[in-house]
Amino acid sequence: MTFPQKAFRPLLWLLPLGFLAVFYFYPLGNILGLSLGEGGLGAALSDVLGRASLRGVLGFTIWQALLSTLLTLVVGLPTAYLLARYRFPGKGLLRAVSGIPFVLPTLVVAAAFSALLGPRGWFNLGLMALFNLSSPPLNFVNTFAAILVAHVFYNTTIVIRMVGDFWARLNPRIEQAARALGASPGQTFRRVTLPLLAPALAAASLLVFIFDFTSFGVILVLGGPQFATLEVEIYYQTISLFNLPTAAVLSLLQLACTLGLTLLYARLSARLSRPIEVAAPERSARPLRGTARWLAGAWLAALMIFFALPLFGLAARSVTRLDAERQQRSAVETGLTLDYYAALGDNPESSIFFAPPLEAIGNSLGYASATVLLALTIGLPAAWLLARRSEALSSRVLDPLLMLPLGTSAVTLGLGFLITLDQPPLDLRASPLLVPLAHSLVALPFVVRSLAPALRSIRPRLRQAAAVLGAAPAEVLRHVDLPLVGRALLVSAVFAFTISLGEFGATALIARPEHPTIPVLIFRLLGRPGALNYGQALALSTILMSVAGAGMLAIERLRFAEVGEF
Amino acid sequence: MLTLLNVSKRYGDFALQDISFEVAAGQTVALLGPSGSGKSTLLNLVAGLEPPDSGQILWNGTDVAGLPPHQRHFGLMFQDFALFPHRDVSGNVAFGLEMQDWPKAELAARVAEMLELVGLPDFARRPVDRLSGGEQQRVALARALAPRPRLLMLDEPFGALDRGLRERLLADLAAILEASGQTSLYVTHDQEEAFAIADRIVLLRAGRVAQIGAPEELYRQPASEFVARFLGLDNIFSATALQEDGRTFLDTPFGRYASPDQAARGAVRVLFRPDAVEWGHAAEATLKGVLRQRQFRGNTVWAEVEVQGQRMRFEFASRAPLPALGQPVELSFDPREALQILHEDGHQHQQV
Repeated sequence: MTFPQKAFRPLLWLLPLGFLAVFYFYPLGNILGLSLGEGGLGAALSDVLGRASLRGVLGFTIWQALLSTLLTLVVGLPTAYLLARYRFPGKGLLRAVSGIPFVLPTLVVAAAFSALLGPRGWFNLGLMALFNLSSPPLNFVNTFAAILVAHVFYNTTIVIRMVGDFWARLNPRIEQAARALGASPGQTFRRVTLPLLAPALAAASLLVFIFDFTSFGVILVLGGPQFATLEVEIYYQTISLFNLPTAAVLSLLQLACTLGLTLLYARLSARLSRPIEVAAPERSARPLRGTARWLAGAWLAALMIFFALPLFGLAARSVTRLDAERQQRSAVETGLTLDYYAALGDNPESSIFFAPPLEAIGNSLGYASATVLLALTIGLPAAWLLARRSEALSSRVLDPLLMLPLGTSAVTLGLGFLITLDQPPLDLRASPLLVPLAHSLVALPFVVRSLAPALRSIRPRLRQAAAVLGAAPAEVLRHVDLPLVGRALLVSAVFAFTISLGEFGATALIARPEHPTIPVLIFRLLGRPGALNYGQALALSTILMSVAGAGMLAIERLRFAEVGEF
Repeated sequence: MLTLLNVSKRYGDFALQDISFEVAAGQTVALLGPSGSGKSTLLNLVAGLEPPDSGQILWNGTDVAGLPPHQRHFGLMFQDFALFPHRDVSGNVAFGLEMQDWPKAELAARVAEMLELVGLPDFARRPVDRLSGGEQQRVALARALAPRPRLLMLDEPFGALDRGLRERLLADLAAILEASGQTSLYVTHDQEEAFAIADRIVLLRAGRVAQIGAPEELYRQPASEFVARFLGLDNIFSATALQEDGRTFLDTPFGRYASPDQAARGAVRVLFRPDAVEWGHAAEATLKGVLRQRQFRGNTVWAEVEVQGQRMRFEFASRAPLPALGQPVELSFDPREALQILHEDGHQHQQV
């Protein structure tokens, strides 16, 4: 009765498990082997941690992540409170706008901040023109502050959504009861609200910390050479120093940290689903009044500007000539231009390492399409196995296995590919499949998580109804299952496509120099002098931003009418 | 004609045991029983959604065991309707026809005909999630009927609907089944529904057949205390059957009456039919008690009378004047008509 037939079942298991074995566990095993070296793990670790510079890297990784998380909470918590407890116009817009940065590729965000606050950005060129300065007055790029600001920009939405939604569901009567029992507003917050919020707060903070801990593109581009996190150091050790054993040990360290943190996060977020005293969000929200109204208004407006300005700045800068590159710096020639887009076909450096941007766009589209195919081919059977509730084994074994790539940093995945797939039997160095394989690994958790609920939502009744109406098993699949999961298939395809387009960490290590993807080329162009290079980087970033934004918008839209609703 | 021969199916600690009955061509048979009696499981076996552990399911004398559900040409209308959410009303009705590769024109005509039949001629292009419960039910019926199934099975088709709607649709459904000469198997837990629609009733209890018969037969001659109580006949008490002068009498807590069954002996359970008494002492046997409660039911009045510490419910025409509550009353009846000895049903006494 149920498709697929029994004979196909082992094949269903084989695809996802085989894929993970060859392209996840085998590379990781090689990293482990490489880092063991001659002296074993202890010797390797003590060697790496014995070097002051690498100790510094580990310390900085933790320090910047802690500080970024703290700042994100400082910005996110008041906003979460306002969104949870008050009604005001533009609430939905703020929620949406705060979520945009989260879905953007890191290189786009880096380019956006560069276009706004960098030496060739709006602020500096504007100030130079206004005050007749000969050098950019604002020093933002290549500072610690740039890293922190970009991280806050990225992750505030996590706090707003996780804590805010949880907060909105807290019954306000509990707080009112505390007040009636004589607690001051401050005491009520400390003794009642905060303890109730604690699980959501902890989960959100941990998630933000994980993202900051593994941050790569932002630190590489905005932080500059003097700042290195573990992730960036692995990249340098691999690309610049060819010190693969050290890179491997660092990867192992990184892997241990992220997997541990991810496990902790899974624990915490599982606790969030536990029911608490809840109220309908509608009932607990009230309008803002008096002075609070103006304060809150100013705060929210500032926040809107913070989220939207870099993105507008990027798009606007990509079509604006701000010609301060010449000798007479005070006279900035300005004007609208499409030159940077028109020049996307040119190779600015005429070196083979600088493919023309159009070629990078072509590469990226090709890789992304291949990623969609690969990720769906592997994700569909996996989701099917997960969706069948009867098979407890599948959910207990397969589910965590499939989530592993999510808890592994992209650069680690890239390094694993680099040291594993360069020799027989798996010499994929020259294969155009190498990049899509890595991207599929990153996209797989998202694909499976989108497909499994949709597959699960098809009630067996519908299949039975089709069967008694004369539909053979294959026809049931075609007329019932496929149409019903069609939307989810589309969502996963868009996920895989968008993730592939924006992926930078793994791609930076494994993409062949003459076949760069969009993010890789943006990275290279941003590091070059010259107005055209810069303009091309911004134009590429703007295109990538639009595609990623459109993709995520499509996913939100498609998800609204999810099959499981009725 | 559908024939079930000693069909059994075990399901965890529940078991359908030795089910045998027939559904003759053009007949509607109701599978009646409380929830958990195995009705829906039996339906799944007939539909081929699950195989029986043993026994045979025959159509016109041929075993259908080897046929998967899509080749049985049995229609099944689900309790939750199971309409395809991705197809509109006509898309749902057309599904079975598409599976039989009906030509386009005939298919469209048949869909229109079916929608006409169930009273939804203008609903063809509606999405199914915009339909009310009653409309969904009609679409599900049209979908099940459209491919002209050899047998139509309906699984609690009105379970999800409110009472008024249920009664209207029930009358419509009975008319539709009658008009189309459809052989059907109707599952319900509601005896009124079964009485209204079925030619014959198969009453199930805990996976076994408790009684099979026409609705009047079941109501007039309940085979056991379980059947009687399930059908709402609750005036049941213990008595002793004894012989005197060659005739059999029943010694009841409230008097000695002629036994309706001359063969009865010893301890028996006796049903007092609620509709076989009159006020006063007109007939040969009488009964004295106190009126405790009354319920106006339109044409009839239900009166609860306490007799020797036991409460019994009787039904009277509402035209007759009713004594005041708490008053002693006298009831008369013909014991051969009003009293009925119930057979052992082999199970523990069970309040339904």
